[in-house]
Amino acid sequence: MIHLINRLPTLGICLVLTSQWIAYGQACCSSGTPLLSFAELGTTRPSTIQFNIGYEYNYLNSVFNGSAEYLNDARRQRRVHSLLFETSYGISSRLSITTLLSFTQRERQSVLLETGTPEIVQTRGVSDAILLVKYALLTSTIVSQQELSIGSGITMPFGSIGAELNGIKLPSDMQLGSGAWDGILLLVGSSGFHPFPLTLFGSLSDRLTTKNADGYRFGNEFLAILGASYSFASWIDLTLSSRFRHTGVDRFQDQEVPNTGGDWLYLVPGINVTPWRSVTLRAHLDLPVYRNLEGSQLTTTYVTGLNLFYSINLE
Amino acid sequence: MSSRNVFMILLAMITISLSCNETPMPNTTEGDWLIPKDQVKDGGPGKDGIPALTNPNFINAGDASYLKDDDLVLGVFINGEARAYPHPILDWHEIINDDIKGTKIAVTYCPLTGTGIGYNPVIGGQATTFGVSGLLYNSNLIPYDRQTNSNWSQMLMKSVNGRLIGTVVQTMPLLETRWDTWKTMFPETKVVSTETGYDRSYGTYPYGSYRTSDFLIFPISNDDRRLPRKERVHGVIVGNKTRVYQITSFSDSITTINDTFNGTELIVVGSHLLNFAVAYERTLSSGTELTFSPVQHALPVVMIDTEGTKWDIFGKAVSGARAGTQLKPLRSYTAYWFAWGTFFPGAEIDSTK
Repeated sequence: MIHLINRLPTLGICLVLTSQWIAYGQACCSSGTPLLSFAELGTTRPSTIQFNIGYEYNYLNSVFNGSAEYLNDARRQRRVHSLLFETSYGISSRLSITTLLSFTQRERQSVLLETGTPEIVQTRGVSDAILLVKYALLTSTIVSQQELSIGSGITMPFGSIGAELNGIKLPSDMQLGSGAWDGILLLVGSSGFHPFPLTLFGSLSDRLTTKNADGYRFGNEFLAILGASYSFASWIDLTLSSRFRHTGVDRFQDQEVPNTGGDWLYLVPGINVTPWRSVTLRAHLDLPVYRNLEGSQLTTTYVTGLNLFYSINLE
Repeated sequence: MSSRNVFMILLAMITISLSCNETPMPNTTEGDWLIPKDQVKDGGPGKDGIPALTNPNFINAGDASYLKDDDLVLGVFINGEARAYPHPILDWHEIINDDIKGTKIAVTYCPLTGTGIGYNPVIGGQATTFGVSGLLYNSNLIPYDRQTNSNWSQMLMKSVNGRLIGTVVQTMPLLETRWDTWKTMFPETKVVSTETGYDRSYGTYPYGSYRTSDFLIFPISNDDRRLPRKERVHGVIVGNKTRVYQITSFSDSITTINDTFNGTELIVVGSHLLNFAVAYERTLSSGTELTFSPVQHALPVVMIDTEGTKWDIFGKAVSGARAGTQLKPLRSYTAYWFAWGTFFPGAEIDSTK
């Protein structure tokens, strides 16, 4: 049985859903793949395998300078399509392990000034992966619906950072991976209020970055999520969460990269539908409601996602 | 339909969608390159992602409240009209295609190397405009011409890829200096308006501390550290040799350097306080070799020769026996030192103080 109260609706558009780069100058850093945003944060029931297959679409057409948005920049767009495959296994009632593989298609579109024709560059392929180990400090019981877990993990640089256009290397935000091994720390909690069909959930997570082979290091990332889920029936939940994201300034060859890093606040409404006992479908929309970015950056306009959860009890 | 069937169908769809790993690309950078292709970098925004301006709006100097006195501008004086192209605009657009009373010019500017160079956009008798390719070579702008889509190296001043490969662009006189210096020289100047048709923070430098720090965003092929990377120098190219003059080495007063370099007699005039440096040949087409002394407080006049002729900052004699004579411009421009060091390894550094 999939317990949706454990499924924090999108832990964060994290690792890079928001592309940070010098929006209208030369140079950029990366956008990467929204791995943590996809990963399940709650622990998995013992002897249960959970599969999560999902699609996320990140549309980047907003240009911010600090907290001010430019209005006239439809000429340049970024689109990131991600397919993610997650497998979680409950080793015991407290310990679970999660792997997450991803495939990404990145598109960069600029409109040629003289002809008005769009020029589109695409990269597509395997992106980075995540390995997470989670430990439940508190597990829900008949008398208590509170859960609290800690976890740690790594992102593995399976994605290429060598994509080229006619022999010319593309910038970091068009590469499929980050090229770096990063550490992840998690704290996740939730509380139900039986018999009232409401669940509150929250999490804190930190991504501790390292330098990749090109000498580029993305800024550390902090995510905080707080949300609520309400079950209208046994087969449908509505969720609403807020997600705060802070990233530090990127560094290249140990120097700060301008126009990277900042603060984002998203509002994330979602719906979970469970048509069959072992299958759940989820849809969500991530809407940025506040951004305060370092310098000028092209950033997420919205994100949509669909997930299919399927679980198998091996006992 | 069972849950198992739903799962299997979705898995099949995803698998099919991922079954190819292709990277469709446009074909605007194919063919031979005159520069090492592995040192050409994609800056990120894509072709025209940084929008060059063409025939922008101009305002009077007195209306340019968005400019501070110490903001740098690129100035031209063509057909009796002075026009200023400020860095705060060029930082966001990099190229301005303009037409000054029938004379076309492409003002090219690379914020990463600090180079402003006037390109003559009439190439082979055909007028074109230049755009920003989104590519960089040694951190320097690669413009493209819209007539042939050829790519050019701004600092090498020639086409390095495409149909016009090998073609050398004619440069046009351009002065980089402070806004208040330019206004003093040409009070009637027009200056590019912020009403460009694009929403940009023209009052904000888009590269953070880049211009004052040692930091480079893109790799360069030769990192010459004899001077600080971002030291602004005026470089002169004569034949296969290059010599640079540090703007900070000029005194606050206007200073002239009557120099000889690689067999060419040249005059370099500059001022630290007024923040400019220009260079011309000081041998006239008649063969007469001139020697110059500085003139203070008479901008745009900056020097006088031993015959008593006064010359302005664009190398034109404005009074005296040779009034109307034009000194021959050199292939010279102002840039950050690191750019000269990487494009022209072994560049000489002038030691005249």
